[in-house]
Amino acid sequence: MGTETEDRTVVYLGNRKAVEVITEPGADQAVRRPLPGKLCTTIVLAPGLKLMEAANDITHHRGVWTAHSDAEAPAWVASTDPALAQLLADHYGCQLREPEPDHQASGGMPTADEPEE
Amino acid sequence: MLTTAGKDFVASALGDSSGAREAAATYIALTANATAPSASDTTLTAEIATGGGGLIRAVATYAHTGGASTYTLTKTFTANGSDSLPVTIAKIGVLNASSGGKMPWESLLSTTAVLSAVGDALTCTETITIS
Repeated sequence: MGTETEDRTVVYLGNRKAVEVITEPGADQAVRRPLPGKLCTTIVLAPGLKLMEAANDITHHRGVWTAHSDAEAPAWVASTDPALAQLLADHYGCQLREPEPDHQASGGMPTADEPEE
Repeated sequence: MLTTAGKDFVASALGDSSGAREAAATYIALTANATAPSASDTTLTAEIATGGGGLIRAVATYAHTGGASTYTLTKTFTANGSDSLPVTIAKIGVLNASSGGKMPWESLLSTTAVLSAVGDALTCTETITIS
């Protein structure tokens, strides 16, 4: 199974309504706390996932995107797997970008060609 | 819930450079046991471990949003012909090995999930708070 050195498919999603889902100690319900700014959600896929399995984990209503954003769709998508990136861009109707190592470090800052919101 | 063993796990993962550093906790395991998690738990009671089944412990997908104090682990489990069905999934554990290992986190599902037939699937996302 996975090791720290194993190559994994990585997906980057431009997140313009990012949230962190917090359950305070003693609370029954989690709260969705907004995070300001234009952020990037980085996803490291489990090894061995097929294309549609990966897409499901991200787009499912109990999946990754819903757990990280209040936006219906990412502003943009990039991935080390071009086919998955294209599938997600088509599904969400969002911009497709080339993967860059500094997506996360830059906070997913928009490029000049990012559409106005 | 962060278990007591989980506190030791976090300390090792963040600060231990001795070579005994804990492996990443990226596995999700399922159980029908609905007893509230306890900090003293070190294993997932009645973990589903049917050989060849689709509901056994598996590596999850990791995700983190820059600046957030949380990260998530997401896994879709699909029941197959080896699983004992129906089953009502009530609780999950997060572990750092494909068998045995440490269980830093344990959570009741917000709503239980009934898997009745081969092909039924459960997508679960565990949100872990860092601070």
